[in-house]
Amino acid sequence: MTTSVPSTTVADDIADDEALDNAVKKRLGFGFWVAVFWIGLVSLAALLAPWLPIPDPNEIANGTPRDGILGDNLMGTDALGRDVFARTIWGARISLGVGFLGILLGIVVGGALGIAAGYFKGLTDQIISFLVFSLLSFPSLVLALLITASLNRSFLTVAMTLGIVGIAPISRLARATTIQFAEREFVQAARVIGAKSRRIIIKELLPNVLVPMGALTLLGMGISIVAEGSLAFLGLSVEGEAISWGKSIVDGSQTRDLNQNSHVAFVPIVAMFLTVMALNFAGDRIREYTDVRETAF
Amino acid sequence: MTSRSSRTLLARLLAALLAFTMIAAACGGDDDGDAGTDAGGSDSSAADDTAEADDEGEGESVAPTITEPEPEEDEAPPDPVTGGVLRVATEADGDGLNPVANNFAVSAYLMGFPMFDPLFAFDAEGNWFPYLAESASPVEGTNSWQVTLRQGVTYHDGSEMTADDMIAAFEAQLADPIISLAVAPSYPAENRIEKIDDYTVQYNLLRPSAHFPVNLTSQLGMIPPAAWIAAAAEDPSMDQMPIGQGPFKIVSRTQDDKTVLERFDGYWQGTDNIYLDGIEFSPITDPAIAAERVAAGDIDIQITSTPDAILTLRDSDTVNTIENLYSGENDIMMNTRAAPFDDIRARQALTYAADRESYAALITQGTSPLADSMFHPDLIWNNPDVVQEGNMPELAGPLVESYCADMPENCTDGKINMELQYSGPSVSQTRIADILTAGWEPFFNVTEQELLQDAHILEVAIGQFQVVTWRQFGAVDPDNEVVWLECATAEGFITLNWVRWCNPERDELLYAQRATDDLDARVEMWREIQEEMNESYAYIFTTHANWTVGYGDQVNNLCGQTGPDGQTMFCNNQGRQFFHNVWLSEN
Amino acid sequence: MARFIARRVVQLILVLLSVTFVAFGALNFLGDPLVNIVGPLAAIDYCDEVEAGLREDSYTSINNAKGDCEIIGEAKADFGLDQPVVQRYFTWLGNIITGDLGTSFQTQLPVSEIIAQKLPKSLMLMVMAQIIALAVAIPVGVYSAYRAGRPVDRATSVASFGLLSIPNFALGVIVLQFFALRNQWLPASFDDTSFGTRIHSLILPATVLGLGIAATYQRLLRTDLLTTLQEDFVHMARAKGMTDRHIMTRHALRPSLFSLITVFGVSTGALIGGSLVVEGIFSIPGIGSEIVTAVIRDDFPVVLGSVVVIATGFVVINFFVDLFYTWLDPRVRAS
Repeated sequence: MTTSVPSTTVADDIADDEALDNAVKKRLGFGFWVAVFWIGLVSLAALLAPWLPIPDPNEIANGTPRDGILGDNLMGTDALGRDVFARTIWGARISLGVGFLGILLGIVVGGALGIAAGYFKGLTDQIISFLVFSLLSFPSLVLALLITASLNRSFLTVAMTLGIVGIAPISRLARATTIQFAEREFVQAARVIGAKSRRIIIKELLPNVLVPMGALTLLGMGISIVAEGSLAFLGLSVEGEAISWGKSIVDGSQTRDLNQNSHVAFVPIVAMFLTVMALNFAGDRIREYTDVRETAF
Repeated sequence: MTSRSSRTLLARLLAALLAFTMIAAACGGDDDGDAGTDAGGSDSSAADDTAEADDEGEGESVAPTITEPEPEEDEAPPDPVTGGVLRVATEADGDGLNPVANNFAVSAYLMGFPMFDPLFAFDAEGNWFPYLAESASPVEGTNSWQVTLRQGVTYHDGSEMTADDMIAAFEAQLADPIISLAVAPSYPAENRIEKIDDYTVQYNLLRPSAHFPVNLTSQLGMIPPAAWIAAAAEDPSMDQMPIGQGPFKIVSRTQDDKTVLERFDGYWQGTDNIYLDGIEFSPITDPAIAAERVAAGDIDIQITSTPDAILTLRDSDTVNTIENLYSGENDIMMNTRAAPFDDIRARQALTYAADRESYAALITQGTSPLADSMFHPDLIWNNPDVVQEGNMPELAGPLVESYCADMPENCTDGKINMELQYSGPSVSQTRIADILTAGWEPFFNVTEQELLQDAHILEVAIGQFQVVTWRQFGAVDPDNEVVWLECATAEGFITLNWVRWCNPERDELLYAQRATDDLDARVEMWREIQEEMNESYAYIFTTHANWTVGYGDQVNNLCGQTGPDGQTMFCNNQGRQFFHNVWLSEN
Repeated sequence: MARFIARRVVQLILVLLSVTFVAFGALNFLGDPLVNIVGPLAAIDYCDEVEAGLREDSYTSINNAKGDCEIIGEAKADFGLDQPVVQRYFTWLGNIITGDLGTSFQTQLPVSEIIAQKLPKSLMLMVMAQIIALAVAIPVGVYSAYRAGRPVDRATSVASFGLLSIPNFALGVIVLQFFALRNQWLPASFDDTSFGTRIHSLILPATVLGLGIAATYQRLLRTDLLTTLQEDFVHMARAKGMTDRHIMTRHALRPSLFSLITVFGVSTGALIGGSLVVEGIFSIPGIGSEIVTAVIRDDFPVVLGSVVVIATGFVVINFFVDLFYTWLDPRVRAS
């Protein structure tokens, strides 16, 4: 991959669609599909966890405590003898769920704010941009810390916290994209005809804005998953018996455990690593595909 | 004590409660279950050893002596080397070092004892002897004790210690409305303390006590100067830089960071036997990492009760350990005044379904044995016939059914609703909760509530809990446990009798054992008390606690500390290790 | 230019205000501020009766020379809890501006003093992390653009992605275990003895923090360099006979560094977040670990004070980065 195409975007001129299509398809690449496959696999496993033939992840002393990989339990057991493989799959439910729900919130709120700012411009833009910049100016983990420490630590709260952190960058992208497209002929045309703003937004802008946002979604999910891990590390992730990758990593990262039975930490670390890497990679590919010039995430 | 502006709650509350009981400075259990608190947990088991001897400290030993490991080769012991700074790892920082105003957990004792000599101390057999005090004796025909101070004891600021300081400290402690809950009952409303002369003070107790001086071996016997006490009451930030009369004085203290002490040349015992130039305390919140660093030689000594750390210390070739298994018991407490555990059926069901064996295997990992009662089997007080029940889930079912039939409002789907409370965030506390919840799950709908430590302690103190994991007891003389067991402290807004269980017959036994010196009689009474506790099902004992001192080869003479008249001192009293006569080998 | 700066300064102040408001708001809006200040005492509901003399006050807090209701009353007065939020905010803001960040609930020490002790260590850590990041990213980025498409480039791409994807707490724990505990190649925690030992003991944590950022820098630099390399003036330079290396360093690198500068400000935010975790792992008594400890023990003034200082620092850094970027690139000045 040596060339990067500056400033042109998909569907610039109808005539070049086909040629570009071919170029684009080539660019997604084999790696992209591997990444998508992995993400799909993990998501599927997470969704189907209750019905999979795996042990109860909370069953104490399911196997010998601190047993290694490929013993009686596929990926060994943790300090309390619970099956690590089962806990990793169940952990995916929370980690992916929190990541997904969070980024969904970010897209809905951030996207709406960004599109409004980019389309209506003027005072609306100024106010929204200022709010977004303020939010962006707040170090995100510190904000997450404040929120989870002040509220409870339910699944929804943690998801919401991660979402709030994502609002700012998403809205900036949405705004940038909207501005770009709002100048286009087809939007001008729609305006001239007298179409209502809302119609224009929904029918013309939204589809085009959503595509680059798709890239950011994947990247954002990756970041949210890691952020959940950091929160868990600080002791502020989902409370109670809920299992998440972050909590599993923390549980396995006790000094002595790392020394003697490091698989307890490494299995969820590897799971998180592969998933985040897949999300990053896929998101990056899509971003190059759409290639909207905006500041780094 | 007037202007202590709104500091927050509770470790203090508890600390004050636990540490400042004049009569019954017993082991506080505010470190729940296992002391494996990572992020910022303060282990506050403020315990006080009591010997069961009277007068000038002779009597039978109540427990095997704790000693340091014997050197392997049969060499003559090397000569002490003067110089060097001892680097100590502590588990948590603690709030302050003012013995009349702050809660002293183990970390604070480690920093406090070098700066404050106690009025009395314990010898290797567990008997008290006068340290800073010259003597103590009961007053014939009364319930009073007279304590005489040595002369010529100089504080770090150069002033001489007198009876006025002792009185100021006593008043400060007693002015504390919380401490007075535990202390006041032992004293009349007036004339509690009298100055006899410049160096002698008389304590006028309400009831006879054969062992009064033992209460002055802990922070209650650590006396700052009167002027300083008053100043610190106005400006609480002075609590960080106390003035004492011990062999070391404070150089600097940074919040959540190092505390540095250096040798005090004006020490009243002279500095011939004080070999260290200074001591440096670093709070390392992860005890397992601290253990690794002791093994690596980065840190000289660590005092911990965390199983992971103890195992690491034991494993290392370069580390020696001194372990004390009489340091308290990990247990589960139930609030017997609130549903559902006001009903004995629920308490019994909880007991039968408690998975103590997994707890011992997975949490304690063999660093200490299962506990059947509040006394370790080695102690003479232990009743060998008392057995803690657990891991018998088959007996729990019928009890739950019976309870739910009578009280359906406390049950859902045939299981009793309950709340398990513990402090966090802490990996080990979470693991303990997971194990217990798994064991109780078939019979109880368990809601876990993880609270920050301060809030956790407060809610227990004011009785807003159903079930908590805790640590308690461990006093060498069980007289100090009375305050946690008597009816008087089961009432009121704050109850030192955490489980709020009152049995007047048990009270009789408690007061009877206090009034007598006859060891056999006392032992018999305590055996009955243990039976009663076992039958009331208010506590579920899991394992004994193990405070371990882990140190590198370069540290010498931990257990050779001597008192002013040459007595060998008690070593590793529940983790409160003395450093006075320690010396470092040249490296 | 002066007008531009003035405008930016106004924007800076406005942003600072909103950032402090977010901090203040988070602790005051989420959950009951009274609970934040006095903790479980807030549950006490009989203070009216105590005031009316119908019952005795209780003494559960550590400040037991004062009764519980007395403390609650004082807290309400001190923090103006009877006033509307906005008014409270401005009072608090006024205190902050005069440097009064309150006192720690735990030790009664002034928060500004605590921060003054801890901040330099965090700053040292972050500066070292940035230096390491740049020292790694610039050569690697240049080289991978130079050898674009070849195996070296692909390898570094994969490595970059990997570093981006591994959470810094996982990396930190692994690095600590391997480099400091199992093999004692570097210190396991912060050593304050001298400047030299400080740097030495910060190498591991700074590397952990810096590598993730290095990956971002490297990828950005590479992309930008490749774009620049497509431009006409580069073709011209080649036609003139300049060596590739000359072109790379003298002509292509400078404009490409712009992207790095824009990201520099944002990466500071990542550093701050990362320091919360890394300081804990490597026992560095910096402001990140202080925030975490203070949150856990409910030390409201310390949390708020530290957060405000950090957020302000972040905003100011971004402001200067923006200013610098603008000064460098005349085209942007126009907007």
